Amino acid sequence: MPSSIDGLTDLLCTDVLGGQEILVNIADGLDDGSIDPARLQLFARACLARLDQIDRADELFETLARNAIMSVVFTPPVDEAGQSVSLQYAAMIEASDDHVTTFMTLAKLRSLVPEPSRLAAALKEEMRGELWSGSDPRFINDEMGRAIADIVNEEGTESHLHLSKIAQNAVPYPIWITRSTTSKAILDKTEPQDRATRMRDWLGLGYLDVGSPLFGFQSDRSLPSLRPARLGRPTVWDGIDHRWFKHRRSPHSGDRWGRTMDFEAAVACRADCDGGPEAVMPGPAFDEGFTCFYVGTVRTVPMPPTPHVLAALMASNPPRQIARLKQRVVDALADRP
Amino acid sequence: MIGLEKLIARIAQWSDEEILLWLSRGVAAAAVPGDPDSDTLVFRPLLLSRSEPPLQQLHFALDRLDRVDFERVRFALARLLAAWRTSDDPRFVQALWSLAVSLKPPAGVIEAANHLVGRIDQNDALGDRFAVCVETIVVAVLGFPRTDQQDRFMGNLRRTGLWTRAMARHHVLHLVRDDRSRWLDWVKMYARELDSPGALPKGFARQLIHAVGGDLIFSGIAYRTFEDDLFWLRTALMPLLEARQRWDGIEVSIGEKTWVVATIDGWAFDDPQICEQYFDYIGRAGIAPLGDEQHRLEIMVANLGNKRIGLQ
Repeated sequence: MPSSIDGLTDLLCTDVLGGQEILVNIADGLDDGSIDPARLQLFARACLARLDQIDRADELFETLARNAIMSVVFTPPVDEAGQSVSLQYAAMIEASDDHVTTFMTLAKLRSLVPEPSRLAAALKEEMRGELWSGSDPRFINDEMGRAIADIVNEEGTESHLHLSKIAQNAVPYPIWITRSTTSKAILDKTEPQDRATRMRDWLGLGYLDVGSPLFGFQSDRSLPSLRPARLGRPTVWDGIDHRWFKHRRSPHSGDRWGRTMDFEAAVACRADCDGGPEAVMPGPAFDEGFTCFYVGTVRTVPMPPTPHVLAALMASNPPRQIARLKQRVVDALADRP
Repeated sequence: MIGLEKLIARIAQWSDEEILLWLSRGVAAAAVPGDPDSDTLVFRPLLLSRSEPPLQQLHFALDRLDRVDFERVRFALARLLAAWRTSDDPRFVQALWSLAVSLKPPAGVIEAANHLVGRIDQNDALGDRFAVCVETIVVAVLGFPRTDQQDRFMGNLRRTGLWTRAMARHHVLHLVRDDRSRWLDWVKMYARELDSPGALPKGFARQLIHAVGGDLIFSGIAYRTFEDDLFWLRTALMPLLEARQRWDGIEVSIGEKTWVVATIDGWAFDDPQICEQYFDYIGRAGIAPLGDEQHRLEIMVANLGNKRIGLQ
């Protein structure tokens, strides 16, 4: 087991699923100030403690190690003063006047529906028994997709639908949002049958597989009216469970939002892989002015994370080197007491 | 590699959330060298994201498997279902049965369902804990073609306190799909267990039409249903479930289309107003008959009494 920061960065480079991508995103977060070294130190120590509990000889070590690192983010570590420090929302931004949209699959929507509720009952009746009770809610027809959106709009408020799960400490999990005007422009210039696929690629939603129905939730209130308790540019910690996460963005963004990885650009090995603007906020209630709409069904498999994500993260002119980025992280950690 | 026994041992120790996370990494089965029939499993690390429920992610992983590996996963799931213990976390059990709905394990599903339902029906405490799983179990059991064994399971379940109206509706649809010609028998069999007519879900009406074969039996009406489910419920399904009425299923052919008059009953013929009402329903259910066709239909309605009336 690694007992030092050097050992941890080595481990990320060689033995953790997606570890190199995590390392590069940390380095990029350090570079633009989104990640501060103190929090990184806390993260590293907590990771070392968790990794110590895993048997290196376990045949599942690569996965268990990644899980251990994720668990550090999802159960915030405690600093020297005994205070728990959340690693999520590390790069807070101010609420702009934007209207926002979030997208989710039918599987995700189903997991959010409160039971028992009128919404659950209506959806259960609309969807076939297998679709509701099984583990694979995909390949629905457009008619059912639109009917589901209608049901959500009719019953969502009454049934107290939230757009994310509520954690045990009563804090909603984060949702990932984009600007409604930008996403609408993308949808408008895409053929209806390709909209879900394009949105998946443009927002880097790698977990959306072929056949997944995609639903949008758009609020008629601007961000300040939604009064998000927190609003952040996503960092590697927010995206720790997302193997397609990209922190660095082109210098022409003109705002403080993050930029997703556009799969089309990544597969084409373009130097600028910026997709849509993205931010994280605690999931609001559906009754905060949201309307559900059916986008369509994803028609292709997603871009596999390996090797495209690392290639896209490293792409620049001149090319970056993993060794230097690793050293950047080591140096940042070494600067701390 | 990790053997199935080791997997089950781990499952026994883990929380529901942990096992779902574990499953979400993807399960791929591979033969141990020299032992091609082994249940040994290999877990391939796959994506893991809170943005998507773990079981959905597992499905994505399974999509990537070749046929042989996929079959091994289905066998492994069958063994997991059979390994149910009363100390298991109900949410985990429900998750496994959700997998069974989609993956359709090749053997042992009804035995496992019988075992679980039989145990929890005899024990109130267990019933309270695992009742949440039963509806998913029913969907999994009815995911297979109809058999005597399946009929017995549903019959037994129907006599327990675990039976719900949703299960009744699901079973009706299953039976109708198995034998369309007896659709009315099936609906009647469960009539007392279905919701009151006014509360019948729209989705059930729609699925029943599809299961029966709307184009044949409810020609015209099926198309209308999508626009006005309540209309169809009022005119076709409610009277079915009204004990004092009888559904006669009179077929009416007009041109190349066959119509089925939904609810004609003896007492209705005696009341011109009701007769007119049903005519109105027939007319509105499909493309409105015009001219001579309308006139002939009016005559037909006025002379209703035969079971089948052909107008060419």
